[in-house]
Amino acid sequence: MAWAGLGGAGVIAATVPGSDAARWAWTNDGLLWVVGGSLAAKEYASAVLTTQVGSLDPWDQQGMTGDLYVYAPAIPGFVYYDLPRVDAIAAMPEMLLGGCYERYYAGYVLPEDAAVETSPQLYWAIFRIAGSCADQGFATDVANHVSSTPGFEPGSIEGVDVLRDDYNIVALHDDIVIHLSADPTTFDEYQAFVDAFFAAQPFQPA
Amino acid sequence: MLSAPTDSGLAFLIPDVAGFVLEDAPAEDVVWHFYETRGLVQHHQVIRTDDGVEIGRIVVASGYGTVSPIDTYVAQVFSQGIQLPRDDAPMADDRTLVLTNESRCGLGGSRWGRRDRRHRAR
Repeated sequence: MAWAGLGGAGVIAATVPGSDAARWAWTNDGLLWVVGGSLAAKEYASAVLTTQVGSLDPWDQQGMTGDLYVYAPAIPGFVYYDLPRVDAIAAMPEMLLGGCYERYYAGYVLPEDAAVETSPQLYWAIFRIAGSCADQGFATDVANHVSSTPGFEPGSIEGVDVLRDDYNIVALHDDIVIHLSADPTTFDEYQAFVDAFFAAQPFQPA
Repeated sequence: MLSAPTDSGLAFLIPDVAGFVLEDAPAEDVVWHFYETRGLVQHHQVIRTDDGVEIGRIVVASGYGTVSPIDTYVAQVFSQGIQLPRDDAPMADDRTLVLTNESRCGLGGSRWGRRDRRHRAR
């Protein structure tokens, strides 16, 4: 079970390899929609979604983000841009946590005075590890996986423990995973943002 | 609740889809329990192809007051997993046997579990 894309929508897809049983769930206009049964029901779910997706705002994340916006604190001088839903869905296969997250929020940040059409350079992705995965120690697995990846070193930014290499900064706090990615030059240019970003995290001591 | 929940206000929102028809679940149905999201107002129906083959179920649900139905769903399924009904059959003792597969989240799907369970419900 994992978030996935279906017909341009963000859905929670539940399937089992080797089984014909499946289920897709999503939200639209404040309601929960669930279609399940055999894999043949996917055609019906897709048809229902076709009637809904056209009226969705491109930035409507359909419940993927939950309350993760609190981990993108306002930083003076910088503006967060959410990824459009279709781009957020397209990025899912590349994400650090595989399918083991229950919330997902992704975007990029630009200086306040940058034109809106400026190409993204520093991306952020914030996850809440799925409850059942967290119960099985998945956060530790993630930390072990990242720290054992060549190039990653432990460090600290504004008191927050991080793992980083030249292109990534990863922080884990309880069931929250924060991943910043950029090229080394960009990280240098956005040093003030990165410091302020971690200093303002809600899990920092008051 | 003994039978599948229905709500005319939610039923009205389901679009017609060519090639499929919807019908209420029979009174003795137990499969609907496996689609239940606790704490929501729900409308549950059976999906059939035009030639009468049942292919699944649809549920449309709303929250009470300010309750977000997707938040409720996320909280329940990502912590507990989902039992996906695969087959069901009546038993001699007037109960129904429902075979399910369990779907849980996992890293890239590689840890998705498959486990047959047998449920008996009146």
